[in-house]
Amino acid sequence: MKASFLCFLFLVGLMLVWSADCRPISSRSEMNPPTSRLLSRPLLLRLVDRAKRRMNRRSEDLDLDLDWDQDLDQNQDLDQDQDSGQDSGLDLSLDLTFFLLREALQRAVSEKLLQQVLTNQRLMEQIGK
Amino acid sequence: MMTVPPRAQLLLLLVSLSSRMGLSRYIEDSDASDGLYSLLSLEQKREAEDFIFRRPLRCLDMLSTEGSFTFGASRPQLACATFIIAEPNEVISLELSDVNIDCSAGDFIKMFDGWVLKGEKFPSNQDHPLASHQRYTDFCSSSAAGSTSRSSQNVAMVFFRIHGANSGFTLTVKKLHNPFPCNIMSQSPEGSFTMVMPHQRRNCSFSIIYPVEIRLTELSLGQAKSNELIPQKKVWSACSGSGDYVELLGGNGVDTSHMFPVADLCFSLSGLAQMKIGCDNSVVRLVSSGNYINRVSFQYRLLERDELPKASENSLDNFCSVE
Repeated sequence: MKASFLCFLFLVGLMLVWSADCRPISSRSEMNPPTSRLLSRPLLLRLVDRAKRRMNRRSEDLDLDLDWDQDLDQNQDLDQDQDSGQDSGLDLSLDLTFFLLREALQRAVSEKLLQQVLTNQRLMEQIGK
Repeated sequence: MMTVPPRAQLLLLLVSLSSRMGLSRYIEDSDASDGLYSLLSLEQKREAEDFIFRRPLRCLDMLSTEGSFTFGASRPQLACATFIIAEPNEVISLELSDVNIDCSAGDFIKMFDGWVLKGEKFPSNQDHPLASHQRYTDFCSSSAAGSTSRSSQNVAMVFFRIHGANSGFTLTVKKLHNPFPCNIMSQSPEGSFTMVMPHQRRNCSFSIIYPVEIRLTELSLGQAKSNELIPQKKVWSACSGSGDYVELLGGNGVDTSHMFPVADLCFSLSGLAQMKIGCDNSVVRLVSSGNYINRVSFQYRLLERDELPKASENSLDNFCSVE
């Protein structure tokens, strides 16, 4: 059973390597490439796509309807035009939990790493010219 | 007379030919930070630097990359905020452009120098060089001066409210190097950092919004300005009266002035000191008098659920557990 599972994994790995296609990446990164190209993409780009889809799912989770947590003076009007040189008396704040803040932070860090991968791909393409 | 073997003759001929053809090369003394860029030509470098990352901005968003982010309101958005975070040794430059909002109708875009969460500010009012009202840059107050802002630390925020559909703006984020970072928010629950405060009367905090174990690996306090010999500082009780010390704080907010001091150190340390802080926010704070060069190095790692210190029976209800 274990041997057959290992054989299966080996065959999957062989298929992925066999279908690899090293094509240069265009300078304008495409966030959503056409489906017809997916079968011929290198393994690295497939992993990048998977990471992007995971990030999009996370971003949908963070589409919250939030409200301001305001510290208003009693007679202060919210829409009053404030002079930035004075103490506005209106401290803006969001009532966001640490859990959501961490989720957003992890998503931002993943996005940064993804951008670094794409930047490195562009650089390698430029070096290869 | 000694005869030269044919192989040596051939090698000598090849070396001579190579030197005449100028095939020798020197290694360019390129800046280590160039990395792969050092392999590019000038035109290729320019092309790489001209590339700007762009994507739509969400009502609630967190940004950690440079780029251009455009918000377009499909419906009224009355409470939006963008958190921006950079590397510890960077500050953030923000620029608004293509702004299409109606300030007279109550729309606004305000950039804040720091983070605000549940009414608490990071850095705290005590630790920030600017007064509270100076940390806000309001686009509606002055469209020219209110469209750019630069943070004092590695975090910044943008608050905005847009009533009308089809209104919007573009936010451009750039990061600038900060050689002596003070007041840092960590991007990750694990890592290491060294805070250096050279002859400045400032209080600097390194904030980690996770429960972590902190290990102080190096602490150097009290290196005098002059060359005169000064005896090693002795252990002081509770660091009271000491102008230079490190304190570890724990709490459930981002304002360090509202957090509980769990430990403080006012003597130079060469060994290890560690502490588990089972709070939502764990902070290493370096207090400096300005008389010395102070330096603290530490490592931190995320505490797993089963590692969180158990709160004792007599602990305060609103204080997280520390071990």
